[in-house]
Amino acid sequence: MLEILFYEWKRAISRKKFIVLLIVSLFFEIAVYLAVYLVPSERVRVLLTPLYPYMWALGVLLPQSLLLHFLAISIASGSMSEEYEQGTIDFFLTKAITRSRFLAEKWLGSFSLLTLVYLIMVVLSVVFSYGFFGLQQDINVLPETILSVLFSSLVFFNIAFMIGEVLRRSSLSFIISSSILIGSVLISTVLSFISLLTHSPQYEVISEYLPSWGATQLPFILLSSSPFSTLIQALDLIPTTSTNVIVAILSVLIYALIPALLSVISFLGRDIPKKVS
Amino acid sequence: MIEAEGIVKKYNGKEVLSNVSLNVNKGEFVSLIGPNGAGKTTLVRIILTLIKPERGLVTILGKNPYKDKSVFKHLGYVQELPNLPPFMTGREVLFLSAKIKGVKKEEVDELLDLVGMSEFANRQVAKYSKGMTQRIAIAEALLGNPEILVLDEPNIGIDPIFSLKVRELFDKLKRNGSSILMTSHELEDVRKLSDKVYMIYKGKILFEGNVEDLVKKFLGIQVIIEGEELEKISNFVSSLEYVKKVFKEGKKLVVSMSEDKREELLKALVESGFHIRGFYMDLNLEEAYSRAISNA
Repeated sequence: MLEILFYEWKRAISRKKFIVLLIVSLFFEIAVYLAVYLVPSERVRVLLTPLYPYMWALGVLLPQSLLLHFLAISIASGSMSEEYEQGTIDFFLTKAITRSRFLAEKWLGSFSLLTLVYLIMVVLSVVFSYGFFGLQQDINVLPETILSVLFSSLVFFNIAFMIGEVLRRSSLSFIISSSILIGSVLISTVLSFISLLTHSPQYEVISEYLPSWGATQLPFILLSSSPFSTLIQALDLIPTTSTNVIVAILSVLIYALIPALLSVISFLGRDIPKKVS
Repeated sequence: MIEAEGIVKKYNGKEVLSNVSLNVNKGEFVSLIGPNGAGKTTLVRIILTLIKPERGLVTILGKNPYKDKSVFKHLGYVQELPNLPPFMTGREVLFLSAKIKGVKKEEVDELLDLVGMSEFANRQVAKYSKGMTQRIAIAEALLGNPEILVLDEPNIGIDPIFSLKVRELFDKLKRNGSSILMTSHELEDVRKLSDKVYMIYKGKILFEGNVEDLVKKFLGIQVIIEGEELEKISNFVSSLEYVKKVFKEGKKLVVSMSEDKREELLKALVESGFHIRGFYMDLNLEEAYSRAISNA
């Protein structure tokens, strides 16, 4: 058991696209902390000082806005599609491996890799925040925050996984999934802006139906009443007025489960073609 | 061991396999031949559960492989132009396969040695030539000493010396009781190895039987005679009523007959005092194949 899961790790790590994104992500973590630590303006430094005990949240939550979703898309878009493109799917399915086991292990392998990368980012955040800004507070909410971030990342992870399975083309899957993410974030931002200008909450409500809403908002909503809510608001790149956790969880669930279900239907029901590229 | 019954497969409404049935018994070497696009690989992929047929039933070792994939523990498969994980080394591919099949790792080194790849086993598959990949694929299929082998054009890309070795290896496996289903364009392999041949054309089985019957059906009975005084033999043979045509081919005489009277012909030659060094049926599979396809 789990041979495919470990194979999936190895396969993903061997891809240059993934390595580049990983390096960018880790560099991003370091750069963010260095930027805050070395801020030249004394006035800004005075403003930031009360937030120093909560700086761990900076590196933990900032990737959630966009970067982590790109990482999720990068890993998931090629998970199934590259097997078709390289014709390696025959290697597994002509052994005593059921299609459902193959799909489940591929999914688990990809998602556990994303989890691992995110956990590395979290460790770096904690280390840098202690190192640069001293003792950290309210770190007890870290596990809950990590879980909410990973749960939220399921939306674009599953969308990319599904598109990869259905279209069986990795580049197309990456482009379409990224376009959905960017498009959804942009529309959401515009709707929030219109809502703010017109004082009409219905625009805000419309944005809540977009896949990016729950995916980018849930961890921020969960921490919105924390002692460091000022920092949370600053980190939320796509701020919204709604603080309804249940709606955010439902949004993530719906947008994560539907693609997952479509992936299962597609993979269990369709023929496996000969190498497609 | 493998049974496919009444297989129908359509692509975009067009039937690519029409009521095709195939049977591989224990210890039997069965070849599936036919031109490109005839439906050979589609049939193999249906047997391997990669493609679902519209109609028909497949059983492997008496079980439906679509419902019970455990039967694949007893099956090795060599893909046409094998696609192995390119980022892995040959050895890693075999280790992965050994893990999935529950086979001891020691077997990997033995098989690498058997296919002459020990020296290159730590090189990435992406850096292998076609022939090297094919060798690893053959070793991979043989892991766990499977009862059934499905070979989809296993000789593509490999050099003539290894090709000969592969033929000997398959022959040995057959003699040891393995059941083998092979698709191939290498008719020499088909002729030398097959117990049974299925000829498929435009999704239909044109012929099922052994090589001799195939040649008889599409080429008629042709006997090769080797001996001295070929001119005299030729004159004698030409006078026999069941002989259609006689012609010389180098130091051999090719006798074409209207019906299978090989025994009578040999008896007549011996009784007439001719010195015969060789007397055998001409199994010109290439010619028979070509005639079968052009007449279809």
